Amino acid sequence: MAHVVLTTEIITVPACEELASSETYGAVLSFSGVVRNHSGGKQVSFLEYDAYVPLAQSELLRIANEAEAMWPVTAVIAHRYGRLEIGEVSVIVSIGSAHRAPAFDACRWCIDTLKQDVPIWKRETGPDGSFWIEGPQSVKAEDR
Amino acid sequence: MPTIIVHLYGHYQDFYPGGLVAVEVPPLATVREAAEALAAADPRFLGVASACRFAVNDAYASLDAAIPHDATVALIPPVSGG
Repeated sequence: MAHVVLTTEIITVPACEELASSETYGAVLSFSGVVRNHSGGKQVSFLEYDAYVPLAQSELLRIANEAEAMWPVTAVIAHRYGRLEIGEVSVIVSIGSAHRAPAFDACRWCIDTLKQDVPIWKRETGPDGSFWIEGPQSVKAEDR
Repeated sequence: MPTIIVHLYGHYQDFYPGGLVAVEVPPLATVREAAEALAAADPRFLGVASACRFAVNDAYASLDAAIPHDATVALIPPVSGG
């Protein structure tokens, strides 16, 4: 059964993979998105993820449910919001399946669709100031 | 004219305290009419009908969708989660 989490707390691969596992599954795999120290040629010191929480939760669940309708898998998606430091995990997609091929396909589809549709935004802060990331664009943010 | 409150996200939330803006719209306005009213009230919103998505009552809504009385409306620029 699909399971999604949108949280300000730390998310971990073992917790997500446990939810994606079953005795009938021979494959469990995970994608982790990690906060990196550069973006668009600029140095990044830390990130804040802003979420439109009710719609982000319903979109995450829609994506996980659609993945389970398209492939014979269990889909688990966890996304953090709030402030994250460099190296912290921001998103995890864990997929369980009887065999590896649908697991890889479903995992790729879930993270790609999440990046198009789930209303969450990065606000990157570095030596050059803070910037909202909106799709491919970076927009200078007001100081806080 | 009815007033709706639009919840702003991304850099648009920096324009108004609390990320909320009130805008007057025609009765039973569509999302497109709300986008046009935003741009008429503040030129920083010019182009949002094509550049952004909108949500009504916490669900994505098309530009032709009608906005019910007392609905929650949100302006959603291109996302960058993940």
